[in-house]
Amino acid sequence: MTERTNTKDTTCPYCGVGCGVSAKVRDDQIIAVSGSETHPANLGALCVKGSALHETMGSHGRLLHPSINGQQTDWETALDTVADRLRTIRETHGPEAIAFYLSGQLLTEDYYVANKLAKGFIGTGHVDTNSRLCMSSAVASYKRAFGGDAVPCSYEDLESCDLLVLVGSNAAWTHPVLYRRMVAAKNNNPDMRVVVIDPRRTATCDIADVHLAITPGSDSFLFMGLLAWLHQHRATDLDYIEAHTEGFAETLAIAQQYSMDEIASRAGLEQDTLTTFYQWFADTEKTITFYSQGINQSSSGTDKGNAIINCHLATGRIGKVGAGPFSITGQPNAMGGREVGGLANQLAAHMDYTPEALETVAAFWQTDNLCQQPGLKAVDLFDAVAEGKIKAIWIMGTNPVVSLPNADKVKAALQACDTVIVSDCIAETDTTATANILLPATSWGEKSGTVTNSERRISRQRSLTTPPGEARHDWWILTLVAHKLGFTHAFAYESPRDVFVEHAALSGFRNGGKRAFDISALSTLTQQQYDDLKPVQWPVNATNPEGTKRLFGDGRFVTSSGRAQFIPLQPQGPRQEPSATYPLILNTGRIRDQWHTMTRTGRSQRLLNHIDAPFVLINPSTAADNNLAEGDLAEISTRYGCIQVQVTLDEGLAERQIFVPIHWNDQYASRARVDSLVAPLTDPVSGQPEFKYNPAAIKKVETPQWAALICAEPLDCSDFIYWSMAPVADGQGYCYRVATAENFDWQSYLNRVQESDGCAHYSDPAMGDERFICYRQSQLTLGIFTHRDQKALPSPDWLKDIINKPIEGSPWLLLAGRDMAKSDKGRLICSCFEVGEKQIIQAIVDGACSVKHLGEQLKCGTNCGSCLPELNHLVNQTLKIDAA
Amino acid sequence: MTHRLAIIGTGMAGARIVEALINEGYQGDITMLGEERIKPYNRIQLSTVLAGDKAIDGLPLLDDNWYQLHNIQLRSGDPVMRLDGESRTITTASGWQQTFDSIVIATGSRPFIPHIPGNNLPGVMAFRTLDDIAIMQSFAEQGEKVLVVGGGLLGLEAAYGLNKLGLDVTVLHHSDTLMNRQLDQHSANMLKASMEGSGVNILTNARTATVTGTEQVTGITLEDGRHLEAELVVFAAGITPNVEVFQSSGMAIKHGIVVDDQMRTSLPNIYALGECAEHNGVTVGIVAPIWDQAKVLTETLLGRSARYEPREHSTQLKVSGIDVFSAGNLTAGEDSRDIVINDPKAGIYRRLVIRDNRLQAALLFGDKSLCSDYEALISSHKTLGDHEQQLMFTAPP
Repeated sequence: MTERTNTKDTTCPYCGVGCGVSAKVRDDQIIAVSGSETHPANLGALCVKGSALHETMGSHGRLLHPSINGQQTDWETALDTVADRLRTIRETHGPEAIAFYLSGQLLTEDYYVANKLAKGFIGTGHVDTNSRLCMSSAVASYKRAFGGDAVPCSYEDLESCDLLVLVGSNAAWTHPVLYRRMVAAKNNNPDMRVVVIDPRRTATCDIADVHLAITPGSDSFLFMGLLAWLHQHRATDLDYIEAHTEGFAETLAIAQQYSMDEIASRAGLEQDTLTTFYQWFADTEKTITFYSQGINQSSSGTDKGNAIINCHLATGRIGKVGAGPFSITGQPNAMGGREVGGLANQLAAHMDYTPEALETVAAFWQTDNLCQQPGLKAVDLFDAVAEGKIKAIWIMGTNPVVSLPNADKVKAALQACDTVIVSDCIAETDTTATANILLPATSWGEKSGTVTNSERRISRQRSLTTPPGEARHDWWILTLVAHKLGFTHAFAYESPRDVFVEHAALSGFRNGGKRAFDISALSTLTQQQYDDLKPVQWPVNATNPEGTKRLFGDGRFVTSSGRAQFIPLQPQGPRQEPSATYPLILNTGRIRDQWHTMTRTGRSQRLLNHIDAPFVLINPSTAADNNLAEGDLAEISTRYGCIQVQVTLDEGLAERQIFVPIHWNDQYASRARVDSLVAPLTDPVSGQPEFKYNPAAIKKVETPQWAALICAEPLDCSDFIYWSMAPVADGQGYCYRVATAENFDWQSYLNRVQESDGCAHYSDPAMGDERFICYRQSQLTLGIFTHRDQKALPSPDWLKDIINKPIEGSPWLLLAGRDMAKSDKGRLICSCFEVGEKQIIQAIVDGACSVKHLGEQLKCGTNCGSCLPELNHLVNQTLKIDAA
Repeated sequence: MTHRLAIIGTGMAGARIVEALINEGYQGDITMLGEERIKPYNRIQLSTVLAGDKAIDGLPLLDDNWYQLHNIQLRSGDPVMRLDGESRTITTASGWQQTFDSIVIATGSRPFIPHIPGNNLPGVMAFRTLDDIAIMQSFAEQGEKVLVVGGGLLGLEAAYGLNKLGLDVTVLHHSDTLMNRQLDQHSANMLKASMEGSGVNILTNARTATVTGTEQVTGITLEDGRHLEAELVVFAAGITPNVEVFQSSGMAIKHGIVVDDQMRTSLPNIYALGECAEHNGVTVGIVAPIWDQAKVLTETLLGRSARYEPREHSTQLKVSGIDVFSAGNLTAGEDSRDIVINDPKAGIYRRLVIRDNRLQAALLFGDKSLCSDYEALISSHKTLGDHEQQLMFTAPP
């Protein structure tokens, strides 16, 4: 049997950590995954999302065939149609009427071909990517400071630093493997200090020596204040500043306009706390500032990045062991996309639209069609779609109807657009619903190519299984369209390797040290060498053939002067202020077990066990002010839209601040696309939207009755006030939580939606409790559990194993709403070993007084460790209650 | 001189009290007097015998040699005709006469046959005794059509048994709810469907006006004028306590013989229990309270203190394949929880009435699981605590 099983190394398709994954494949199926021991990003570790990768496979729900206007077609017709439409629109309206919207989940090779086709041959600059939403501010600030979009650090710097400043990052949930490395480093180094700067007290604060719960959006004040304080306390490295930088004096002058009082008041902090942080920063040579969306997703995100970099430049802490400004990306290949020029304001291979670059790229691609100026950035690009200026848009591997600000407008724009081409691996997404032409793309596990992670490390993602149906690789689809448009000579690709070596060659073409991104040493890889490529950090060139751990350590930068630039920025607050109508501040972000718009993680039943429905986090006192209790349905509105999600009380949020996760969309909930609330206000430099700060209002939605449903087929939800859905494993069924009107007539609803031949009914009118178990030929087809009180609703979780399967024993027994044979584990905390909250609390009450003990007894937290912060919290809470 | 005790009646109550006394070490002389010719047997099982689901020899309550072993004088087939309340002297039909120190009356009841024309025609009968079974069995060899008057527990059991004998049986029930003392409309409808499914015809809202026939029964005419043909009519329309012979004894008798909490009649040293007795204005018709009464009376006779407190008791229909259990008062008030499970396809219906965190009533159709737990909870008035929520599915710990 073993000869059929083989193990291949690949990389994880989720966050920017870029972990190596060892996948066991048998009979063309991925049967297990584990962290690759040899991959430098994770050294064997894997978070809960990565650990569940094999559970997201399977052809159910996949887009399997090309279609045009809802009619299935063959590839030849589909590609002809795409090419015809693009050609016609280009001839009639010019190339600027065509746009591409790409994704940080595409492989570098896919990205390269898309960018080359669009900018180089169709001739449109309107090529942007969802990385715009995620880290374009970090890109812009690096470019302003260093002359290139180059992260100077390596992950191992997180382990060798003595001060780790996490800004706007809930790494414990968003980058769990790096967070585990930080935790381990702190355990190994008693001198290491961690400062977390975040308006919210998150799971990441577990390792914080100090948590600065700053006023949202005040980061620039905090870091400009730091710059002035460092200088005042002689902690700036004047020699370094003199030798390697420009612009210090002007920058300092601005910083010095603010008194400590003012900085403390702007940041909403006590002066003592502020001084502690400043003092630690001043005292600690090995300081890493680790930042993510909390910095980037702001109308002044670029300045915020530069405010941080300014402090590192002023102390000479760039590109040194354990020191540097470290931006962490959100996506697996955001970096790869930046490298090929996937952002609208970049041309290719880290070149901008300079005359020299235009000439270089045109020469390399041998094209006369190269677009001559930057295209529109995401928000503006979709505005142009809405205005009808863009007649055709090709969206690949992303879900802008969910993820863009003012998302309802984006949806309407796409619905109205003539030609919406969507390449995706999932059939039903909020974006595929707007497509005229659907092209089935291959998915993780099928695709082959490279990705670059947050430490500039290029790794191979390898093909493991045969694509289902007629799914094809994105580079292949693009190449064939290029051929049909008459550009065959420039797109003579037969494999991802052909694309990669060309990309590598371009990075070195006429470079001569002018561009940090240079992987010319990889431009001669043979197919075998490409297949065997070991993870390597760029630059990989003649000077550094084995790759490069850190950049700019020698004080030489890729600006025209060779010096790093201080940016004399004027600190800005958020663009909008709360008002009487919208008195709260809405923050958005990720949760632990979901990824982006759930198209992949939503397929894993296990990942939805942690949190299975959208929610709003709110401080208990703000909730009380708004007449809201735990579990209530709340309507959150801004001037752009409104959503309805359930309330979760969280003292980690300050008063009048709320937090809603970004993941839920129309496939999983009635009205939970939080980005429909977000203002389309962007950073003037980077074009990145302000996702983290939106004035909002909240109010209670009356929900006379709640219901939990499990069913074999998707439900008609049109009659409900609210619904959210979590799929059962392997497409076996769906779990819904819904709210209904008073006296909802379930019996007639059932008669309409269900063809069952049997139904057991439970009714307890005094409690507002009604339940149904429907079956067909003794197979469970539907279970409904209703209750007036949402908290009293039984969880249909235990029915997940038997939905769509024969019922053992009498159907009416299932009306109990729980497995009478099994004890209730409570809310799932450890997704890896499926350990629930009630089990954990019981173990603590019975004497397990630490996370370590819990691990020994229940195994929880001993695999991926993503739940360790929550375990820690449970231990502390339970022991506190016990002691009281 | 040894204390002399007479027990009048060899039914379930008489047998129970004698057995209890012996088990408790009663030392006096005991004489039992019975109308039926055989030793006490389990009357509850008669319908199962009729249906052929159980043999006659499974019926005796006590072994034949038990009476001998414990020196019980057993006078079967000789009904008591007179009781002198003052002297406690008993006279039987055969002229046998004796005076006792104490007397227990356990004469039970007889089927109630309404006073309508034709009610004494040959072919009109009740269902109470082993003799009745013999008549029905011999009828089955010649006749075809039977009408059972009464859709209560006994009528339905009789109908089921007669149907099993191969007869064409129709049950006439005066209201629209079968077993209306124990069931609600929904479960009664299910029961009707189940009975009809097993071959018994059921007519509800069928009020009997006359029994027709001249020399032999030919059928029944209903109040609405419909006529139904039959060669046999079985009345199962309620019971009448057997108290007539004691009218002249001087003891207080209303519907039954009036007893106090110790099962004492109005006359000294004379006691009564079972279907012939009336406690607080209530006569009973099922066996469970009789067991309670027997327990109290045993204590009383042994000079110990005990008190009879009526409890809610359960009913089960003994019809093979149709599981019905009912206990407690199903009337749900505004302040009670009325929980119902219903699965028409599977033939399942369950209903619990809960009030003040106590189980007030339980009705189970098609699946009697947890019935004994419910019965115990109803009769004990125990509070349910948090378990109230899950009571339909599990018994409290």
